[in-house]
Amino acid sequence: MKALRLKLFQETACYKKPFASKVAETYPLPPYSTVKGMIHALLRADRFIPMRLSVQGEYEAKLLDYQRHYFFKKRDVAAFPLILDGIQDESFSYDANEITTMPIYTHLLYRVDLLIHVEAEKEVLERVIHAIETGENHYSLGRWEDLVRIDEYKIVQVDELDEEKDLRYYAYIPHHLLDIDIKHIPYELPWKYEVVNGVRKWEKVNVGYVRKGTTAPEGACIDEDGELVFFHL
Amino acid sequence: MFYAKSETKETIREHTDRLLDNWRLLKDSYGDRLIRVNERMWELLRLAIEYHDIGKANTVFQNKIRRAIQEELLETDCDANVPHNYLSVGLVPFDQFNLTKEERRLLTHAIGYHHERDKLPDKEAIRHVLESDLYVQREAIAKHMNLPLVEKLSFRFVDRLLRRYTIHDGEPFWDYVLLKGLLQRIDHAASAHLPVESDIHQNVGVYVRRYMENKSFHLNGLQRFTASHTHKNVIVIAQTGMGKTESALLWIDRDKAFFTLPLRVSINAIYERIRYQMGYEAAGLLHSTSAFYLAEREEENWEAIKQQSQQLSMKLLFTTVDQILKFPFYYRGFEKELASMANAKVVIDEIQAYDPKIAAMLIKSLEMIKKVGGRFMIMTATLPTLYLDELKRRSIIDEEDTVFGEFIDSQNHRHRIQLHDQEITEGIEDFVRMARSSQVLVIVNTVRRAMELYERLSEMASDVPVHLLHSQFTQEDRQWLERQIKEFNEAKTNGVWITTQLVEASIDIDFDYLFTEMSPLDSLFQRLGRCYRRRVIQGEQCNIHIFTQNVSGVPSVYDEHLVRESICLLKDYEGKILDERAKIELVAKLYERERLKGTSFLREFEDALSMFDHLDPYEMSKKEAQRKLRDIQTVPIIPRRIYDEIAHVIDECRRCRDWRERIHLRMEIEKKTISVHRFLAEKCVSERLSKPFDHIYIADVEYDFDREKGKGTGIRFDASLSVFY
Amino acid sequence: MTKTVTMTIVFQAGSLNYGEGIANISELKKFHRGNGEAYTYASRQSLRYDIVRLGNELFGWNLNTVDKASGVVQFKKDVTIEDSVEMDLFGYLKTDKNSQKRAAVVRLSHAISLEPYKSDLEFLNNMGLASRIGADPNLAQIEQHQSFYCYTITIDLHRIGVDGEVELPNQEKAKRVQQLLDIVKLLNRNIRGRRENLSPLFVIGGVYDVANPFFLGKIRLASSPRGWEIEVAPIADTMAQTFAGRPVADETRIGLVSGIFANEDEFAQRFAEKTGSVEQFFRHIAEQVQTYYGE
Repeated sequence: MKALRLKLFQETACYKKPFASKVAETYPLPPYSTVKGMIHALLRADRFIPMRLSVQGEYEAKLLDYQRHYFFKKRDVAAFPLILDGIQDESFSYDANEITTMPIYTHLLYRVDLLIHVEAEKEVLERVIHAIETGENHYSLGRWEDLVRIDEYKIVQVDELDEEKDLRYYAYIPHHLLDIDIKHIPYELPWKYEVVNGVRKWEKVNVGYVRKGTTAPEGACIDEDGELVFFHL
Repeated sequence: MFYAKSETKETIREHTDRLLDNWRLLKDSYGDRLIRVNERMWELLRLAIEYHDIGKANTVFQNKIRRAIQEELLETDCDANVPHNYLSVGLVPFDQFNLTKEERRLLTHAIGYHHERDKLPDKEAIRHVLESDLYVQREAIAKHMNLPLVEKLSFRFVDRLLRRYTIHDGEPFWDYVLLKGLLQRIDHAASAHLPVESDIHQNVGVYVRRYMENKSFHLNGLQRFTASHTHKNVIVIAQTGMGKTESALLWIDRDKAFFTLPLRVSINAIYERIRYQMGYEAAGLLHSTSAFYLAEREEENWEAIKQQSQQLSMKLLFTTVDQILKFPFYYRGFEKELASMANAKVVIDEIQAYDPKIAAMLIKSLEMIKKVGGRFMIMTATLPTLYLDELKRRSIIDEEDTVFGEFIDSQNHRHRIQLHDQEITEGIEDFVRMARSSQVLVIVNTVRRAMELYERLSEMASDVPVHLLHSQFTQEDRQWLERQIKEFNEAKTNGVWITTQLVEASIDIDFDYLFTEMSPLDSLFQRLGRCYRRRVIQGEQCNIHIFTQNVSGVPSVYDEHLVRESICLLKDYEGKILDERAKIELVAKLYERERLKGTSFLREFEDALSMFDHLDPYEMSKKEAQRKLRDIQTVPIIPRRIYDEIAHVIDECRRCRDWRERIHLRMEIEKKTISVHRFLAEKCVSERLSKPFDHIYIADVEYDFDREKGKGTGIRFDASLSVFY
Repeated sequence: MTKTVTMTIVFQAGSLNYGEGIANISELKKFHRGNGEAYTYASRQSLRYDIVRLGNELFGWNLNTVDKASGVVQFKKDVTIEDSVEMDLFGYLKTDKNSQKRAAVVRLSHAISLEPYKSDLEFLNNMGLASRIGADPNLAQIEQHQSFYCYTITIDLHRIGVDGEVELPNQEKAKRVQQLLDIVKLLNRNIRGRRENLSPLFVIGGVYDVANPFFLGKIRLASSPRGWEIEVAPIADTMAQTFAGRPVADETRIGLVSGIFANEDEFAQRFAEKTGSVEQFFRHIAEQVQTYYGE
C-alpha cells in the first residue's frame, strides 16, 4: 500500500491531555486526533475524511512553563481579556465575578521530531501534498502557537514487516499489534468524535507508548526506506 | 570445556547437575507441601535450572575464570562484559517446549533475574555477545550441556525483561515469585555444595513429647489444642508460663519451620533449650549476633549451622523478623525469602511487642505467605484488636483454615491493684517501708526517672538495699545486673530494685510488690507479670501500686492518648482483683480502631500498611530494606574512660589474623558499648571509631558503676568530662 | 499566490524572564536539556508583551480599546481589528454566547538561551536600611544569566487586516506589518530596573511562497578560540533543501551585526549575495511585503 510520510519538527509542543486541570499535562507524542486535525486543516476539510495514521517521534526534554490562565465564570461577560500590556500606566483589573486568573504549570516538550505516516485515498494524499506546497498559513500541531517545521513529505510504499527490527523512535503502538509483555505506558488516545445530543462523543484508540530500541511487534509494517509503521486502525 | 565456578573448577554442566539434584530433593521432600507448584511448574523450574547458567559459556566470562585458575586464555575479539543471566535467556529454544505465553514469560524472568543486577539489560550489548560469540559456539555449548539450543536468535526477550512482574499481574506474579525464588534457593545451595533442605525427616514434635515424658509433664490444654491443628493456621492468646514454646513446636511437628521472636536474648534462650536440653540437632540460629553466641557456646560446627541458617535450609530456624520477613519491601531478591516460606510454617511470637510499623510489615508478610501457600501461627499474651481486624479485613485469617484459641487461667488470682492519683516519687516512703520485709520492684518509664529515684533512695535509706537496672549500662554490666536481679529474687533477699520497661520481657522474676508508673495496658500487664508470677494472692492487700500523675516518658516513649485511655479503663478495678481474662479484654478494648483515632500509634500503623501496599517493587536492595528495619533510634556509644581502657583491644583486633580470635576480641569491644537514644547521643559524642567499628561512637560523659559494690547509676549525661580529662 | 514571512532571530541579553520565586530567590525560567545542562528562556508571552508595549509607545497602538466607565478597566466588546492593531496581529477571544475567536496571525516561539546557565547568583541585600532600624538584613538572591537567545517569528500575510466582515485596505495592512518589522528590529525590555536590548544581532529568513518556518531550531552556537560562532552546517543544509520544487536559499536572506560572531566571514563567503547587515535584511523583507500588498 502507499502512504504519505511526513517528517516534522517542533521547537516546543504541548499535546494537552483532557481533564488535566491544575497542571496542563502533555502526551509524549501528538494523539491521533491532533494529527488528524492538522491533516484536515491542510485539506480545509469540513467533514471527516477516512485515513489511517502512524505516529512516532522523540523529544529532547520536558520543560515546565508557568503561565497565567484566564477562566470565565459565565458564558457571557462584559469584558474580554485581550492583552494587558501596552497600555501605559494602567493597572488592570477584571470583574472577579466574571473572570478569574490562575497561574498554571504547563508541561512543554522541547525539540520534538515526528515521523508520521498517513494512509488514505491516493487523491487525498495528493491534495495534502498540494496544500503543503502552496500553504499560506504556518501550521501548528497541538496549540496554535507551537509551530511546525515540515522537513519532508513523501509518498512511500508500505509493506508487512517480516524480520526482527528495533524501533528508531518512540512510538504509539495500538493494542491490536502490541505485545503486552513488553514495557509500555498505556494511553487511551482520542481519535475522532461524533456529536450526540450536542455533546462530543469521542472514539478512543488504546495504544502503548513504547520506547525506542524496543523490538517491533509482529504484524507491524515497514516503508520503502526501512522506517517502521504502526497504523492505528 | 565450559567452566561455571573458579573456586571449585566446576563446569557449567557439573554445576547444573548439582542444581538438578537439589530440584529432586526439594520435589521429593516438600513437593506435597508446595501447593502452588504443580507438575507443570516443576517442569518449568527444571527448564529454568537447565538453562540458567548457559550464558556463562561466553568467552569473556570463560577467560575470567581461566585467569583465576591459571589456565590458558581463549582467543576472542569480543570484549563486552554482559551479565550471564541475561545471555542465558537468549539461548533458550522456547519454541521447542510448547509453552503458553505466560509460561514463556515466567521462564524468561526466572532465568533473566536469577541474579539481580543494578544495571538494566542493554539490548545492543546482549545482541553483540549472543551474535558474535555464543551463537558461533552453539554446537559446542549444546554438546557440553546436552541440551537443545535456539536455532534463530531473537531479542524480544530483552523488552520482556524490562517489564518486571508486579503484584498487578495477579496470580502469575505469585507463580513468578515461586519459580524465581526456588531457582535462587536451589542455585545458592548448589553453589555452596549444600542440600537445599537439610534434616528433612527430623520431627521436632517427637522431641518435645519425649522431653516432656522424661519430666513427667502432661500436655496442657494449649498444647493439646495446637498439637491437634497442625494443618491449620493458628492464633493463640495465652498468658506467660503456659508452655507456649512447646505448644508451638508441637504445632510445627514434622514440618519445616521458622520461629521468630522480638528479642535476641529470648531467641538464644529458646535455642539453648531445644538444642541442648531436648537434644534436637536440626535447629539453626540466625540473627545479627548469632555467630557470636554460637562461638561463645563453643558449638563445634557453628560454621555449618551459620551457613545453613543463612541459606534458610535448616529444618527449624530460630530467628528475628528482620532476617526473614522483610519481603514486603519487595527489595531486589525478595523472592528467595518469600519462596522459602512456601513449604514451611512460620511462628510469630509476641506480636504485641513490635512497634506498629513492624506489626504492619508482619501483617503484610503473612498476607504474602498465605498467597504462596505457607502456614503461620501467631502466639501472644495480648492481641491488639486493630491487628486482628486487619488480619480479617485482608482475609489472611478466615473460618476455613484458621483456628483461634484463648488459654487463660482465670481461676488463680495473682493481682490486686491500687491506683494512686500521684507522682511515683510520692510512693518513696512506702517502697522503703515494704522493702524492709519483702521484695519490692519499682518500674518507671524512663532511665532518667529511674536514676532520680535511685539517688533519692540511696540517700535516705541506708538500711535498705537499693539496686538499679536500666538499658544505659554497658552490655556486660547490664548482663551482670540481669543475673543479679534473678539471684536476688531467688534468694528471697529483702530490698528494692528500680528498673525500666527493660524487665517487661525475657527476665524471669517474681517479686512481692510492684510500684509502677502508668503505661499503656499491654506494657503495664507485662510489668504485672513480674510480681506474683507463679503465686496466688491471698487476703485484701493490694500487691500492685500504679501511679498516674506526672508520668515520665509521655509522649517521648508512650502516646499520651493511649496512657489516658488506659487509666480510664482501669478505674473500674480500683482496689479489686484483676484477673487474666480481664487483662486480655481490656487490651482488646484499648486497641480498637475507634479508640485509637488520632493516636500516633494508629497513624504509624496505617501509614506503614499503605506504604507496603503501594511500594514500587525492586527499588531497594536487601541491605537497604534491612537498614529500614534496624532500630535507628539507638546508637552504640562507649564512654571515653572505658574507651581508653580498651583502645589496645581494638588495635589488637585490627591486627589479628585469626578470625576465631577476632570474633572474641570483637565481643570484648561490643560488651563495653551502651545503646542510647540518638538524640541523647548527639549531645555528647565527640568522635566515631574507625572501621570495622565505625557504628560505635565515643561519648565524653562520665560512667558510674562499681561492680564490686553493685552500685552506680550507669551513664551520666549530666556530668560531662572536665576539660582537663 | 500568497506569501508568508518567517525569520529566526538571535539577540544577546541578561536574565529576561523570572518565574515564580522560592523564598528570597528569584528563579529564571529554565529547563534541563537532554545533555543535562540548564538553559533559560523568555516566554513568547513576554516577547509579545514588549512588542505591544513598543507598538504603543512608537505607533500609538491600542489607545482607544479600553473602557473605564464602570470603574473597572475593561476592553470594549465592540472593538474590532480596525481599532486595534494588536487584535489584528495577535488575535483575541471574545467570550459570550457565541464566542468570537481570532487565531494569531503573527506567531512567536519562546526565546531560548543558546548558552547553558551556570548558576550565577547576584546577592542583594537591604543592609543599609536594616542597620538603621537594627534588624537583620534580608538577603535576596537573583539569578543572573547573560546569554545569546534565539526565537522565531512567523506572519501569515494574507490574514492581516482580514477578520470576518472586516477587511482593511491593503495600504493599512502593509503599514501594520511594516510597524511590526520596525518593532522587532528595535525590540527591548525593561526588567528589574534595567533595560535589555533584544534587537537582532543575527537574523535569517525571508518572504516565501510556502508556509514553513525553515530555520526554527536550526541555530546552534559553538565556541571557538576566536570567540562565539553560529554553526554554518545546519543552516547550509537548510539552504540547500528543495521545498515544493524550489531551493530554500532562493528566498532566504541573512542579516548580521558585524563584530559579534567570530565566523561572520564564513557567512559572507558562503552565502555572498544573501548576506548583509540587519538593516539590509529588514529593508529587503519590507520591500517584499510592500510588493505583496501592491504598491
